[in-house]
Amino acid sequence: MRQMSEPAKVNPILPEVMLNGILKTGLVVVGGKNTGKSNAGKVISSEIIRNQPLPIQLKIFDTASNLRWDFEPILFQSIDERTRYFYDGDEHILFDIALVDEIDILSFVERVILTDYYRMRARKELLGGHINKWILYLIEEAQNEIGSYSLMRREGMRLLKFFSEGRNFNQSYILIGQRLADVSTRAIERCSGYLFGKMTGDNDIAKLKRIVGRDSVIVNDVKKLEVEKGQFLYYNGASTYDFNCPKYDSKGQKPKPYILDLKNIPTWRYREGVRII
Amino acid sequence: MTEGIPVEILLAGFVIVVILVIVHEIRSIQTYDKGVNLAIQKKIEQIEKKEKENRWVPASEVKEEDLAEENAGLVADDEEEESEALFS
Repeated sequence: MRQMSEPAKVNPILPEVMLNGILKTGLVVVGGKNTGKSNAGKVISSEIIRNQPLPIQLKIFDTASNLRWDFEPILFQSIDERTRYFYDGDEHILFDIALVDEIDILSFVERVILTDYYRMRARKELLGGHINKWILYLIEEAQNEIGSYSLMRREGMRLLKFFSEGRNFNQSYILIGQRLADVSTRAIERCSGYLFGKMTGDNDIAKLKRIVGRDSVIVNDVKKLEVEKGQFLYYNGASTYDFNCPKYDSKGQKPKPYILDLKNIPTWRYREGVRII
Repeated sequence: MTEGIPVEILLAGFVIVVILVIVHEIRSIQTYDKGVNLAIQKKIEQIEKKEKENRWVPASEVKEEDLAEENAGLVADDEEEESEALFS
């Protein structure tokens, strides 16, 4: 990864500038079909899981079953019409969402995120304004969870609170989608980190111009990115960086199912009327 | 005072007044019914919304009696999916 107009340097896969950017401003990964967006999402999240640079807990929402069969050995939970209880412990978790109804998906995502929001708020109060962990949400196929008009609906209004205030409570997000226009503008505009894959469509380029500025060099660079080499551009609102994403290798591992068990969930339980944070 | 007004006209007037009163009553009953129906519908919507909001529950708030049922479903799902993966 190198800053544009600077000599190339040898850097780790997930450089500090990008990780800090993700935590501070969120990240939107966007690009045309088969540009390696999901692979980029896997690489970024696996780097966080494997190297644990900070106490970050990942919560992944996947409606396309992209990660369940080929990803790090974290917990996963299938979410379908019959599911009632969702995992809310301290480990990384992959929610493999098999719901079809957009409102059902939105209400699930909202419930998970807002539950954390209130807990992180309580944690901040208890710890005197300092929270000792981050929760990072990776939302695959974001157009399914938070589509264009979803945050204008009554069901999505409360989620807006998370997108606008979440960072104050150490909650951040990575949204992965094909087209900027398909994901809620309210979420995208509250984010200042973008990872652009190759884009050529007029509508996408028009949206891109609105984000980076009409005369920015990024507009032309994005069209020339080489998909085979896993090339992306990372833009954090001020600077642009090359991001060459390697192919993700799970090393034959896959997530393990989460089994609901009283022993597994001591963290948030009420004990003798006192909530343990 | 009614001198000079034919009885038929008085009767007709009386009948018209009675009919108007009946129509008014029927309409007010209908309006009331409509209002009641709307109120019921609104209440149902509120309950449905509340149910939807409470549909997802954090695992830390699980009740012991629900555990066995939930996990039975989970295990069955995994076996099903793994066998599907094997044969696909």
